[in-house]
Amino acid sequence: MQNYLANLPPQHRRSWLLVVIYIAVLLVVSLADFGLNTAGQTVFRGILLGMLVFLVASGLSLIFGLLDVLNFAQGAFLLIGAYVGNATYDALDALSDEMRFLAAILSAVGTVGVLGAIIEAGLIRPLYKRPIFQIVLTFGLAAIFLDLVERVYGPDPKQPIDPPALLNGKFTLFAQSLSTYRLFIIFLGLIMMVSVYILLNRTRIGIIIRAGVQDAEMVQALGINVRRVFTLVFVLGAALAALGGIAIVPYQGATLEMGNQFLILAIVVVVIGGMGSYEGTAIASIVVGLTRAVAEQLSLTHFDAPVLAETSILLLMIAVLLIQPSGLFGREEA
Amino acid sequence: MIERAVYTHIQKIEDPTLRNIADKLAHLILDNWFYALVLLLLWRFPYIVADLSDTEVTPRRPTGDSVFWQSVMAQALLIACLSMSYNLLFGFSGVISFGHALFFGAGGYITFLMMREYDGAYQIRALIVLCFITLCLALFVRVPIRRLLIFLIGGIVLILLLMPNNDKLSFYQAVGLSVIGSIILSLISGTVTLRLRGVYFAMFTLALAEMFYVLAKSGTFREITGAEDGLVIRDLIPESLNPTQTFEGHRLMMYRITVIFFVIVFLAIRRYLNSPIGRIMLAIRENEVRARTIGYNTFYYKLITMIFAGVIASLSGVLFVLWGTAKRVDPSLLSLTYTVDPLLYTLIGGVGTITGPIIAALGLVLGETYLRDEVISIGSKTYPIAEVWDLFLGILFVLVVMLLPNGIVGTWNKWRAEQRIRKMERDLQRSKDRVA
Repeated sequence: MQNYLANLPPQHRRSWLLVVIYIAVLLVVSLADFGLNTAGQTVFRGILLGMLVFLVASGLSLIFGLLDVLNFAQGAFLLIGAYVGNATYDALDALSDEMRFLAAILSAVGTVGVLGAIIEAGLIRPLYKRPIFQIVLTFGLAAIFLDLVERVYGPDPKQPIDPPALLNGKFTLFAQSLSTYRLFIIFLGLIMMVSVYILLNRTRIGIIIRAGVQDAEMVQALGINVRRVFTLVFVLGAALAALGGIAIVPYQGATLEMGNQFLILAIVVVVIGGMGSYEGTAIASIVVGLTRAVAEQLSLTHFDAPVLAETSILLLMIAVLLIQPSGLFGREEA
Repeated sequence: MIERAVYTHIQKIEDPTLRNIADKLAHLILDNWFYALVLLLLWRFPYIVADLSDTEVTPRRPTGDSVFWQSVMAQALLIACLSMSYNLLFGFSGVISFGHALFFGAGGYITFLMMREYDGAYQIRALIVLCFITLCLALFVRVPIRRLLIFLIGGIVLILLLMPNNDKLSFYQAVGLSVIGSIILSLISGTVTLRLRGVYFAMFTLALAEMFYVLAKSGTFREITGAEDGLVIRDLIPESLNPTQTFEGHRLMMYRITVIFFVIVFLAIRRYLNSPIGRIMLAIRENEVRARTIGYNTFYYKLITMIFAGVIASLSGVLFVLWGTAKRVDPSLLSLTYTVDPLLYTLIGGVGTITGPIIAALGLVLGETYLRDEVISIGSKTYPIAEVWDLFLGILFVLVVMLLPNGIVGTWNKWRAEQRIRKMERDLQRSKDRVA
């Protein structure tokens, strides 16, 4: 820890300080305003949302860091994951609940992973010479996917499915009885956070990815097939989003707006955390989740207008962009 | 052939001033014969359709092919205007905005909110707020003080002229205010976003537009925006501008107004691109660092272009609302559709060409309506075109992005240029041979 702090660039040290102060202010405000129980629930909701957003945002950030492609289809991947998983769950009603849920997760992640591989290898790879068209392409693909999902699965929102009995217990937190499934989502997010961190920092492929973020051409020159690593990272990002999508289904069900909602949140997270910075994304998703939850609670109690929370994260984004345009933990140039 | 005949004829005119005028007129028409022909076609379009389908242009009851196609054509023209304004940003300034729907929807919302909610008591307050915003922005953008004074005085005079002292705003005044509103909107969003580069700009505009969409859609402001149902504007539209009115001629009148609006937008954009500012814009698109090194304040020129595009988009939005059958300003105007569609049409028609977005938008919108009732059968299954149209559009989009980076018009222009070069080379070779 001491070593880590000593090695931080001064700018990142300032960012850490800012984040800690900001979270402290949020906690104090919510404690003072809502009282202990509501504040605790709000913070819990915030962390939950942060974990879900992290699953989308980490893919966005990784893909941008390595490939220099802003993947607007990330929200659509989440959407497809949720709907495909839901459909699988419905189709396999002969199996036990646990198996159905597992099959739903696998099918969602698998479908989107394959889709991601096809998109990267078939559509994005020929466009590395024309970066603007890559952005436009992913944006168009997002619209197409949204349309396809609506066509295939219908415009109506899907009801939440029952999580398997193992995760369907109850626990009491701050005088409110909650489903254990929420804890599962948080654990899922944490596990993914840690495992991607380990993948990036402790494995051979991780060191190639990190080197590629620094300078992809140089890695290529050292005799490593960077293109294959590009595809891998794209698939990884897409699969993480799909995992987030299927994780939401038992909690909130699936709606068509979900993709764009989480895309916007992920964009805010990535901008705040700094494009291409993994730790920045992890911290920023917690910050955004907390901000969103506290703002929602605040606007609900004071103005009776929950939509104001939507503007709060945007204001946060504007503030960060004005303080530090490259994001809190981003690289210098941006 | 025709040109030579006309010009020799003009040369025979005795009176020099008359000859001059005739000469200029002939130049104007003959140099732009293609545009003149298209304009004529657009103007006569209701009659052509009426002749082809044997229906009336202005029937007593608004049914029949001519009437139907008038409104389809008008909406297609407005979408073409929107695409042109999008292309102004995307194709001519290299600014990738994913929030263009914001301006399109803002036009309708501001106009009709103003008409409904306006109260004489707001007048002074609105003026003060406007002055304040202008001052803040001027400090932020660092506009020269003389230019600032002109803006301020112009704005105040405009508002005094526009705002009546009685209770209600007329439609035209509200449209004027919506223009001012969209200028302010693009100024604010531009000053915040244009400092960002490429991807950050794209993300920020997307987030901003999506935020307004959510706000307009939410039930919290139901009393103001009407939430998902939108503003009901049936009583607010002046009767002479209501194209779905059953009285004779209103639809045709409105169709002509739309065509005129389209022509004005087209000419304005062409003029803008040929003006000094437009030229600087092109320089910025090609190489921003270099343009800044030469001494241009690139931020300022981008901001002006963004305002220009925003105003065009919001005016098209107002007209589009008038043409809608539901007579509502609903949140779907702010939705991603009206960002994606112009983007699609711009790409398919040709990024950075003036006519490209028009051709793509007219072709695809009219084509969709024309083929709506047809059916494709693949194997034993049949699909109505209306259902697979978006998929077709998506595939077309991907194909164009992958294979024709210059779009239809861009590729055509390139091909023409290559032909011309080849012809010149051939001529050169021939003359060389002759000398030898």
